[in-house]
Amino acid sequence: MSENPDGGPGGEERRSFLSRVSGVAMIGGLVSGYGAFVHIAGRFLYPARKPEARWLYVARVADVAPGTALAFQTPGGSRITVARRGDDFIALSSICPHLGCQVRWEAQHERFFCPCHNGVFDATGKGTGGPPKDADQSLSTFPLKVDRGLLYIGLTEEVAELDDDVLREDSRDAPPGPGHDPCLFERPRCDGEWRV
Amino acid sequence: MGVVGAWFRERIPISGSQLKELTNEPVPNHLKRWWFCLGGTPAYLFVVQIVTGILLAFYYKPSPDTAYESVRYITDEAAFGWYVRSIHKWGATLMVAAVILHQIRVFFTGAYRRPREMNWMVGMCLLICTLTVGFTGYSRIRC
Repeated sequence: MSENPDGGPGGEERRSFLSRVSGVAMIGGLVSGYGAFVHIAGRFLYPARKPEARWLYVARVADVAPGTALAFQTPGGSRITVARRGDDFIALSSICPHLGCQVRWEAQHERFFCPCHNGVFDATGKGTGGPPKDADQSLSTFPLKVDRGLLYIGLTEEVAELDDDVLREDSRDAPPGPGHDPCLFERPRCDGEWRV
Repeated sequence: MGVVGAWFRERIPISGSQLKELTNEPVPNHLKRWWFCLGGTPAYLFVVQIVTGILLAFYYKPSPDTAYESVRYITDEAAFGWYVRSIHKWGATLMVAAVILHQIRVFFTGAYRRPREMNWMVGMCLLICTLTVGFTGYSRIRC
């Protein structure tokens, strides 16, 4: 009794208590870890809800003449072409659905052109040449609404949020090196010659 | 134990002491080193890659025209898509690293010697398989 390897009286009890506690902790950890992953997998597979749009002010309707367009820059830094045809407005993303390069409006050809793989879109954003045509892809559009003479654009949370990367890129003065998409660094401007 | 326990015991007739005998198999002392876990690590990561790969395959469109858009959807729009994709990406990298560490362990503990020469050959085939599969995944457009 004097030489108890368990560290005195009650060692037997302590040992069984500790092994029970560690067993419970281990099972709890496994269940919560794998349970969290199953939950994540379920959320991943469940069809995504259309994210709620946040409405941002674009311009006064009176300031956008029919047949013209303006370049709207989101707080996240991506450029959206907002064009007016008659009384209808259309908002087109400037991100090519093929590999994510920036498209630009070419007034002389009346088309959007993506310099990366010669993707071509017509004035309504439909793919008419290059990879976007082959895959039947269009420039994505955004909802617009007019409220009391003011034009608003509906952006999802991600697009509407400030993007630190873009801000940092914007504040960088050095010219883009080789391999960069030059269009990324082009300042947004109002191209009045845009025609639908 | 109750009704539920009796129900299970009737269908899975294993007693607690038998289970203990199976799971508490004594491990030789010289095997109680962390580097002997490096064989199970790539095996576990392989299962992780299969599970996350199946999840990603629900959304990924492998054609060159649509791959970018589908990966963008996974990363930006699908719930936890960025997370599943990151696990898959990091799991692939770690699996190659774990396989190499495992081979180093086998080499320096001399575990390839007679009568285990076949294990080394099978291991080499698995190494080539791992590198091949890792390469095909790495070559995908943005995946």
